Amino acid sequence: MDRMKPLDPQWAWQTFAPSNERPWNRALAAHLYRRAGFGASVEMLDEAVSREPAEMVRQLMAQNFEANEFRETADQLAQTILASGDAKKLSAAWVYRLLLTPTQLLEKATLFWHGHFATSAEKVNDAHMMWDQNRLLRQHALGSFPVLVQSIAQDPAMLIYLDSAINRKAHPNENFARELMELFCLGEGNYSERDVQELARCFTGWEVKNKAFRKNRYQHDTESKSILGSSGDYDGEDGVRVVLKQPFLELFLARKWYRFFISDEPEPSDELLQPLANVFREHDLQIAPALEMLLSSNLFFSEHAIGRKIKSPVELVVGTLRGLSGTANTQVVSSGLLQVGQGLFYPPNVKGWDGGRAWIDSSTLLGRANLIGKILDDDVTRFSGQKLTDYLGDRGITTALEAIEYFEQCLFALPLDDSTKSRLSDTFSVTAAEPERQLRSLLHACSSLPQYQLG
Amino acid sequence: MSHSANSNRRRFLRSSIGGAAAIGVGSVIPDCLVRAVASEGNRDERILVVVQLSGGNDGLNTVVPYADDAYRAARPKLAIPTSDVLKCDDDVGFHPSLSGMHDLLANGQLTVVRGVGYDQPNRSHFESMDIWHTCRRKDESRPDGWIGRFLDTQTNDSGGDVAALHLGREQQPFAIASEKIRVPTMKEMSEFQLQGRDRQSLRSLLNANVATEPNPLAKNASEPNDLLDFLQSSTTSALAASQRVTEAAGSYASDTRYPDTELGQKLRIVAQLIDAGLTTRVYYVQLDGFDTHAQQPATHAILLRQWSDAISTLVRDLDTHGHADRVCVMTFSEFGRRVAENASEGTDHGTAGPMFLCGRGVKAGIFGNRTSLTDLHDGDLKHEIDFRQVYASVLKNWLDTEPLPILGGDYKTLPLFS
Amino acid sequence: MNTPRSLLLPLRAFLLAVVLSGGLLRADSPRLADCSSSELLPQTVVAFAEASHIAQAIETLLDHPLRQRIESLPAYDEVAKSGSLEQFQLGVTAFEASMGKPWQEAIKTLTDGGVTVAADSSSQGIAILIKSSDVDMLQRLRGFLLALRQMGQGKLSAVEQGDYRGFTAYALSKELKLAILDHWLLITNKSDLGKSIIDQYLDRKNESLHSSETFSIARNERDAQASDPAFVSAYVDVATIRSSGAAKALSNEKIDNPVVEVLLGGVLANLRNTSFVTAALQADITGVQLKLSSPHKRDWEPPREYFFGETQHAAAPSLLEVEDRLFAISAHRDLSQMWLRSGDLLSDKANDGIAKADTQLSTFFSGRDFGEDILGALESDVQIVGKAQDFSEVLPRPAIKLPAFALQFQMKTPDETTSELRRVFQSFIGFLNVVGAMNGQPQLDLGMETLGDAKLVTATYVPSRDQRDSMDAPINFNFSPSIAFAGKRIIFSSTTQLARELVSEPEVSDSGNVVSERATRNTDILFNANTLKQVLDDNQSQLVANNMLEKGHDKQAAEAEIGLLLELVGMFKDATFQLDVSDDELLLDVRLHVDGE
Repeated sequence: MDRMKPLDPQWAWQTFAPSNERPWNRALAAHLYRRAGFGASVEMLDEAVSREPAEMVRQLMAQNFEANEFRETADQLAQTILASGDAKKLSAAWVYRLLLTPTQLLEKATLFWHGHFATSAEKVNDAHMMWDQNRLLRQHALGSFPVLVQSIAQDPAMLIYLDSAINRKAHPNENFARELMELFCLGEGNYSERDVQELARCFTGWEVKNKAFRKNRYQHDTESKSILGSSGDYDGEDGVRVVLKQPFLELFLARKWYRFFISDEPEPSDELLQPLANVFREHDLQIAPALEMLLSSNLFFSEHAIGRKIKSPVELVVGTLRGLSGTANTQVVSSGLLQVGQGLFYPPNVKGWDGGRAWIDSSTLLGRANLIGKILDDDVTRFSGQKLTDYLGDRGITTALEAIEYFEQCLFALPLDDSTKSRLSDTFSVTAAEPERQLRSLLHACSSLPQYQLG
Repeated sequence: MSHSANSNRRRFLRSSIGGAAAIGVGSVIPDCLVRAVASEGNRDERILVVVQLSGGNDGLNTVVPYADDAYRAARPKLAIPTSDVLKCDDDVGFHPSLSGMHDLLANGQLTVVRGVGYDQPNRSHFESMDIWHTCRRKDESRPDGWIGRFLDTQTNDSGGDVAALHLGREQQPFAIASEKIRVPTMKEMSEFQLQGRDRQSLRSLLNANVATEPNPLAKNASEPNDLLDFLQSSTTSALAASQRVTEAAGSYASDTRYPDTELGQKLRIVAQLIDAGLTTRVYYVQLDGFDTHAQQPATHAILLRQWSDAISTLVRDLDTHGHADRVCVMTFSEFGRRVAENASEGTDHGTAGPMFLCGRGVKAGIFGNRTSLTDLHDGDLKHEIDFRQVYASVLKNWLDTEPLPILGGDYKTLPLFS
Repeated sequence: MNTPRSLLLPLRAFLLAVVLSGGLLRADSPRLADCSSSELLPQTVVAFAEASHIAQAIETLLDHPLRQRIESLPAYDEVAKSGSLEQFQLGVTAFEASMGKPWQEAIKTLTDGGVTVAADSSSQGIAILIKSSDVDMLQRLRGFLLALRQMGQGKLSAVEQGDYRGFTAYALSKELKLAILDHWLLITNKSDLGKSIIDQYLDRKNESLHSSETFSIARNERDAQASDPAFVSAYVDVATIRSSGAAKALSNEKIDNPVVEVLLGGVLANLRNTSFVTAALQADITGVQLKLSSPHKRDWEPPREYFFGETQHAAAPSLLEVEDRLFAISAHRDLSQMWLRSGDLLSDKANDGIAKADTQLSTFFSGRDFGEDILGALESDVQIVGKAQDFSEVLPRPAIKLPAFALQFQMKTPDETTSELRRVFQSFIGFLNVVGAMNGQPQLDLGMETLGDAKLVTATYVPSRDQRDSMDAPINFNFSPSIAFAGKRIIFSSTTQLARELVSEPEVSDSGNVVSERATRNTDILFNANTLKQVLDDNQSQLVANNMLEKGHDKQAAEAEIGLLLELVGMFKDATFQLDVSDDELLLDVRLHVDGE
């Protein structure tokens, strides 16, 4: 795997400055939108190109809360859906947000945290709790990591998912304590079994009653605990604070961000990640400064990042639609996502989605193609409210080849070679008889190509 | 019959090689061929089909101790008349619905394990099922299931066939949950094929694309893109697998007639996938409705018939296709039912019950002693064999895997396989 | 008619040629111009439909007050602007240009002799016959249709044509042929059928559909019944269709779906035996009505006595009346008998399902046999009613507001059954509570109340502390399952309120008082569209949210679409479905009423 020659960490994290060799263009702007969000129309790309890359990143970062109007609509939608009590439908309400939110980075970060603090409705079995957790993740997605962790530690859905709804001092439940260190903050090997047992004692008395978090003071172990080298008569919040102080934390998260925002493989070295980790720590574990550095870096805009990730199902489907200002039946999208391995509110286990090559097997590859095919086959699917023919027609595109080149700009991370293009346009030529169907078939074919699975 | 699938497959491979050689492409093709050819070797790997009878199957009326007076005493209304029992020996026989299973036994393709259960039995459907699925009790951490842990021990190339498959519309069984891999649930056969009006053109486009596409970055970029190679070879093998499945399905119809029940149709798909040479090791199906608290006889007879007909058809079918010696079909239920019938011609939640293993690899017969109907624990049968002993035997003697880390304890294997 | 045919043929061909070439002469034939279409069709026709007042129907449609309401909808403008109607309007313009008249007038003239559609069993073909007093208009129509065909092909190619006995047939498509026989325009997809019609037109043999025995019986019956002339009247020769094996459903004794069996089992049994069905469709400003009737014999009823009545035809009870009624169903059905005889009525697959359900239900009903003990305790009068619920003064208020519904039966032995079912109901609620508790659902609180002579056992969902004043409570809060006993009546209701409303209605006395009109009424169904609109209105925010999710619409677009849906529903008044069975006839009457104001 380690064929990549070591990268210079200093170069890697410097702010990217466009040059003649690497100009700031539609391709780089599309890359930024794909990773810091889900995708953008050609018009949005042109708007981005008219600014500096760093300015664009700052603008994305500044959208760390949703505009009132959209938030109200989307929240109200979710609330209405909750009346039916069905978490599967709630997942459709999230798809609605993913497709239409003006604050893409916030939504992408929310999705990241959903995978990080993985909680599945399959087990929690309560749509309200899942929705509350989702709001919590969105609220802190680009905020303070310590606040996020403290809130998650008292989140009913999380506690139920980790079998920690009851936690008596006679039988401290180690599950949450273990995952807090292993999966949420430090990574395996950076704590001992003894730390798990001691930390678990901090959370005794924390329980979920009537679907709400509460502290049962009669069940809290008030004795002194000794965790990761420090000791005191800690309660749960103190325990979290001790974990957050550990120096492994910033590197652990930097690595996860690298895999989520930059590249699936090869595995980055600690040296490479250290500057990013340092910024995270220096800013008191505020998320935004670290992500801003990551997204405006040389490394992010380099060939080590572009096309170096396998798109998750959400990135694939939402990206395809957003690239063409598309809207679709969100229930078809959400149930399809579940089928190909990324059900929103249904991560496979406590570790969340592994990502990378794990997205792909013989069933998901066909499933991805079939899902996009199903969405495009649906007359409800519209592009800026129009048929695809009219959407492209308004942009002066009528032939298959023109359409392929248009898709290449707003959808593909890597350029298509000429032979692929000509095979595509030969197979899916656009004739007068059924232009809409043919254009949609062409888009379906493009999005089924192996190279399109790279983002 | 097994030849046809093999030869189809070789033909497919040959044409890919031929096509690629003609165009003279470099690095991509060998990789996917290696993968495809390697998976061909997996045709010899043994397969486990798990059939879950949900609701708690009444074991006593399935494998009937017809000669035991205590049986008739406990079941004045529900006891199967001796004349109706399909006799296996002087002691026990099968429910009259189980003619298919009875034939399997006679043909040496069925072993019945009697009196299977566990200590301190739990009578809740959910909890007992979780115990069977995870081999752990409620107060232990249960992130995955026993089959999931088995799958984790297998070397799994990502990009290939799925390691296990659950067929059905129900919630995915906990038994196949893994911390490492995702096991898909398939509702219809069509999920294994490209869909849509343009699937033909799309298929040929993707095949052509993979065969001729030079890595676009290879020419001018300093770093090759391993992920792209991976995606291209995965696409090839996905299309090949789908092709095999389609061809197998197409040439299948006339051979064996499966019962027109949901279970029958699911097992028909399982047979097709196995015959198509998928490297999938475990298939999982469920049959629900065994919670017969009232008016048991008619319902139980229907369910047992559906189960027996479907399983025996599958085993027969696998036999004609030459797979019966590498497929084992294992049936279990979360608990048996109480020995005594209740007042509404039904039975309530009980404890131990029989398990069934079918296929050419099993050591046929009725295994385990007759469970006593008089030496009871609180009106329930005492189990003689822990279900994890059966799992251990399946893991060690059938799937060639060390059971200890999977089951979380050292369970003595049983001589269930020949 | 006396002119030797050998002489006539060339003459006719000549005249026809003149006409076709835009000539001034008109083929004015004295032959069967004034016969009816049934006289032209062969006896092997199995389905025949005749529309005789098309002009009037168009007028009714165009003058209907609803038309203005639809056109005044904002959505109508949008559709009109969007160009979706463009092609339609283009077609109308072309039609009017070809006909030389506004389309209403053109159709009026074209169809003043009626339009007939017939399906023939021997040729497996379909024929359309249009009769007009104006031959010129028929020819213009032919020109229009042929032009359409050429447009469809995208090229101007010669129209294929062929002659048969002096008439020219033109190919409208690969299969469809068109010919004009003086005042008749004939379109068919089978040449053999076309030829036989031309033969009959020229030769006028005695054997035609008109002279067929079942057809004339059917026609006489239809004429005897019809109060007003029907807009469309139709006839289907069920016996021939059955014997040809074309319709499988008609030959299968047993069906798969128990719900279909309960609703329509008797109708299907009739279709398996009867010789023909006639239909009449009428339309006026208040709505449309479809009447289907078919000969019936009591011999055909076994094993469906549960449906028709054991010793004599039994009548359905009257429809239950409640405030804000959404629907009401009344029928005569001996459900216990149906359940126990399901082996004779339903397919093996369905019976497997019934057997499993029997086990489940007997468990629910604490071990009582569902078919024998529970259903068997009830008379065969089934009354079901649904109503919109008013939550304006109720808390917690469910976010999704469902209608309430209730079933009413008469008990055979009230004293015994009352205490029996009360106990069953109580343990059923207990069972729901146990299952509910496992799934985190709210719990039900049992209550008893007495209302006059009636006794109610009620169950109410207990809201958790923070739910008490909720305005978007879970769906459970639509229900307060209750059972009520009043004299012979037993009521199973989804809400206590509806149970109370029903028991406070006076008990209808026994069958002696059944109104004569209802004496043959087997099944009676009413559906109220106004209440449906009310229910949809109450759930508007849910509908909008679903629309946003399902169509990806923004809120505005979703609200507009749901608004339109509600408008459209508001244009209907109600729908009724009535099945009458007498010793010799089965009559199905379906009506749809629109809001004419």
